[in-house]
Amino acid sequence: MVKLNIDIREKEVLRYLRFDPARTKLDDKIGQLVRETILLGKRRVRPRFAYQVLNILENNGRKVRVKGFIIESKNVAKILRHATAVVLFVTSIGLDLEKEIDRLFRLGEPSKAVILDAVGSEAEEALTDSLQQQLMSEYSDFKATPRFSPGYGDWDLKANKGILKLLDAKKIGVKVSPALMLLPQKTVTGVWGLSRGK
Amino acid sequence: MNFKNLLKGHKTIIFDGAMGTMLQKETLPQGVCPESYNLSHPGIITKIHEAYIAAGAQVITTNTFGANRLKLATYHLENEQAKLIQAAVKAARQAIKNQKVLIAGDIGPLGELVEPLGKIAFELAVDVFTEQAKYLKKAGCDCLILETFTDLQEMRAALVAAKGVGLPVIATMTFEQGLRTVTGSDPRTVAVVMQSLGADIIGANCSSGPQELLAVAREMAAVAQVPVLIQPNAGLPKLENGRTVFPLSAEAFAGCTDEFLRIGVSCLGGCCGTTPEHIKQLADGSRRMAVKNKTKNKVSKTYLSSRTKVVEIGEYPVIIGERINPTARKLLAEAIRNKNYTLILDEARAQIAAGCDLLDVNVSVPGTEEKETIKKLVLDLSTITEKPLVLDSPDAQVLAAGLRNFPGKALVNSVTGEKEKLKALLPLVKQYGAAVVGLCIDESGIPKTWQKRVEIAGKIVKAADQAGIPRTDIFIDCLTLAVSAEPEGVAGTLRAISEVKKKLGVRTVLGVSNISHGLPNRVLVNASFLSMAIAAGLDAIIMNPLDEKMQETVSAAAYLAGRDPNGKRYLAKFSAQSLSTTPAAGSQDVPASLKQRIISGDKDGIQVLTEQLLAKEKPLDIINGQIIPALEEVGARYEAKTYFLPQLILSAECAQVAMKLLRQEIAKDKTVPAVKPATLVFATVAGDVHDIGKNILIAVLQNYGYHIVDLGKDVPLKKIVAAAKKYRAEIVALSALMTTTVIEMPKVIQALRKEKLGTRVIVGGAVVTPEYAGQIGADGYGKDAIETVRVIKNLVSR
Repeated sequence: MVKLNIDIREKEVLRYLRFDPARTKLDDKIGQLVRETILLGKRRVRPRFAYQVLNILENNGRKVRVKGFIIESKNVAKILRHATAVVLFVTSIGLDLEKEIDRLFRLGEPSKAVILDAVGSEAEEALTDSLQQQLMSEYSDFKATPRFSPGYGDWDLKANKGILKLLDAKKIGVKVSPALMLLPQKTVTGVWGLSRGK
Repeated sequence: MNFKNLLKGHKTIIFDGAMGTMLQKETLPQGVCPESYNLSHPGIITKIHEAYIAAGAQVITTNTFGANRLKLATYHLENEQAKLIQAAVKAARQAIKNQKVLIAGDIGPLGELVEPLGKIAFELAVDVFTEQAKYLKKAGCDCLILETFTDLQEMRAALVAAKGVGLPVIATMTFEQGLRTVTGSDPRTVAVVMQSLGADIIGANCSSGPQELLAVAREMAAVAQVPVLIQPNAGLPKLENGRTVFPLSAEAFAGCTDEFLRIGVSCLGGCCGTTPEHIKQLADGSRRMAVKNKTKNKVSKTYLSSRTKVVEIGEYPVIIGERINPTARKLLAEAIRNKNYTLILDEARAQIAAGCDLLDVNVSVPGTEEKETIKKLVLDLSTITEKPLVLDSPDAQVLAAGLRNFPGKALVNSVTGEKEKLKALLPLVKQYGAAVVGLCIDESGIPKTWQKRVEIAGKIVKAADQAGIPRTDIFIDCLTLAVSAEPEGVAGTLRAISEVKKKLGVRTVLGVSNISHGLPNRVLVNASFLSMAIAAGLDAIIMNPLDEKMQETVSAAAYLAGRDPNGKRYLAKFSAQSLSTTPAAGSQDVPASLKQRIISGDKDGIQVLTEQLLAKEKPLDIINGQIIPALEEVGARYEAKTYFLPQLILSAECAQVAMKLLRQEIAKDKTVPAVKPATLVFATVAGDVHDIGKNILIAVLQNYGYHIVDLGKDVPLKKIVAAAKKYRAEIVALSALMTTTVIEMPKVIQALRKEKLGTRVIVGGAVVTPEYAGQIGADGYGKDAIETVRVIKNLVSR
């Protein structure tokens, strides 16, 4: 079973909040507020994920075909050119954290709300990193390619529909809106490749 | 052998270890309900119990951890609950035969959080736990054990349910690294709340290894008035080849035994990863040392708590903030009637910033649904503050709604000496583990003499004794009337305070502002009376914490009365203040300080400071001289990137506190003609649920005096147009984050143009560019909050 370790890095949270290491001065009060909010965020993160490891059946430089799914993107095809298999995945930190953000705005604590939003983004990123790390430790003969997600480059957002269906993401409470928006908001779908090598 | 006998004597009580770990050894397949083994493989369950008994366990735990209706439903076994529980207890009974071992009926959490953090209503949780507890009792358990709870509010529901069926109850929660439960409670808070709700043994389980739980045990034992149980895991779990492994051997696991016993822990057992071998080592190790006294702590302090923190009441008097009370406060009453709680939350924040210890909450407005209001407010307040609440109502139903939903140990204010009232309220106080205020008043009104007041206090305390409420959880209010109406009453009140404390060994509480009714220089009279009451032994003062004179009086009087040893608190307070917050003579520093505080995002004390400024300056001068320059400075720093986003918003929050007060003042002043502010309508467009950018902008804009209408997210075109019409909006601001939703913007703009309202439209969001804004015919575009404020200012002034 995959057991995930979500490491929320303060530095990354600050980066999401447009902290400029060269210029921004972090006073104690804000530093404290950020650390408190990271703790709060940790308690609201409800990690969930689904994935499938699939052999690449065809990669013609324009699309990549795996069992049950076709990735229609030149960008992805290029990244996967040396890969023999892919991991299609969805990860999400759940709804509780975004509910807390709404709540904080409503209760008149927007600064905390904004920090919590950044904590959520970082938690989601860390969750995906952790999933990748865990899985790759089981495929020690393989190297991971960079990750790629629908909505970037030429990979159409519509791909989300297919990925979620393939992974039966309903089960973990993830869905996509008619406008192709992932719900919960802090959700990531995507792919990375497995290539033989060092 | 029964539970009472178990607690006697000087031996450590040994509990068993993990059931799940053992079942997995017996190859329980993944995805199978562990409780189903009670029916399908009762022999295996009995065998596991037998092994723990042979290892030395005196209490064994039934295989019913997840046997509640909600969890069983996920296996479609909800209709088998009674059978599964009965079989579990039978399997345990068979393992015991004639040995002196007790059966603890196991109850674990529901798997979903209780309100406000989750969706399950408190009442539903109590219901589900009660059902499980009843079946366990019926099947013949000697006691119940509530274990591995992660949320204090859920534990409260389970305890209310378990105590309701009438068996002794053991309650343990799990803690994360950093000594907090998942939802933020520290060990002292957990201990205080659980024992107040009637747990017969309290403690911690699961969490991590014994070494890590030592710190939790120390904290709990410091406030525990009942025996403490610790059941650690066999170390922190590690992942080996995709399997969870607990690293501690039996010997290593039992390594902390002496230390636990020294701290005052008197019951030990194991959780995940432990086996009969671990328990045997524990049992052997514990024989080396005698337990001093299982219920060692003689109660002397009073503990109240929120979900996360305990307030200790000992020698030093505490302040109860009285301002959340709509009596004679029109604005508050109006807010409650309109269910607009932001004003009340602001009152709470201001009082906390001013230094109150407890918050009184009174929602009594004629013609409103008080039960609903108090529930809603208690849920909101408990998420914004760490202060315990004082629930202020004479109505049992209102109090019950508040008590159920407050995730800590509250103070109930109040019960009188009237028989009916005592009968109605005290059981409620006991059931929900609260403390209570008793008023020295009975069927014949407020007595004139101090002797009679002490007599009524005695009656209340006797009834509370019978209800099982400890003396330290009783606060007697000896009452006071205006000195102008009853000059000899003051001495009587003071005498009553000291007599009640001496004779009954309870706490005292008093509201001190009535005394000066109808007199000039009320502050002087109040402060003088307060000093006298503190000298007489008053423990809790109901007062306005924003009143600095009264705050200072508390500090000085406590020191003088010998209730602040070496003047430690007095010195700490005033040496700090002379450096930072005391307005200097000549008051030149005061205005600079408001501006400075907004710039540095220092929210505490802004309200008080603004009030002080208002005594000398006109509101508009304060806005123009202090607040606007502060906001401009913050905006400049943000653009220069020496400030980042949270600092920008925090400063806006600070300014908002001052602006609220100043606007109220301006509204009162009839000589200033009222100017209708420009109306701005905000919406995240249809299909889009991302509203963080829009919310940030609104937070920053709050201080610029506009009338802001926020329609929220995923707002249909028609609703935006209707709102623009209804409010005659000067500006409609649209937000969208995605390429798939941004296309809604031109549609809204066209629809607005068609209506010929003259409304201007500005747009923003991650994928919106100035070029795109131009193409779709928007009147403005904002890159970030600060720039958008500028755009809005320009558009409105045109």
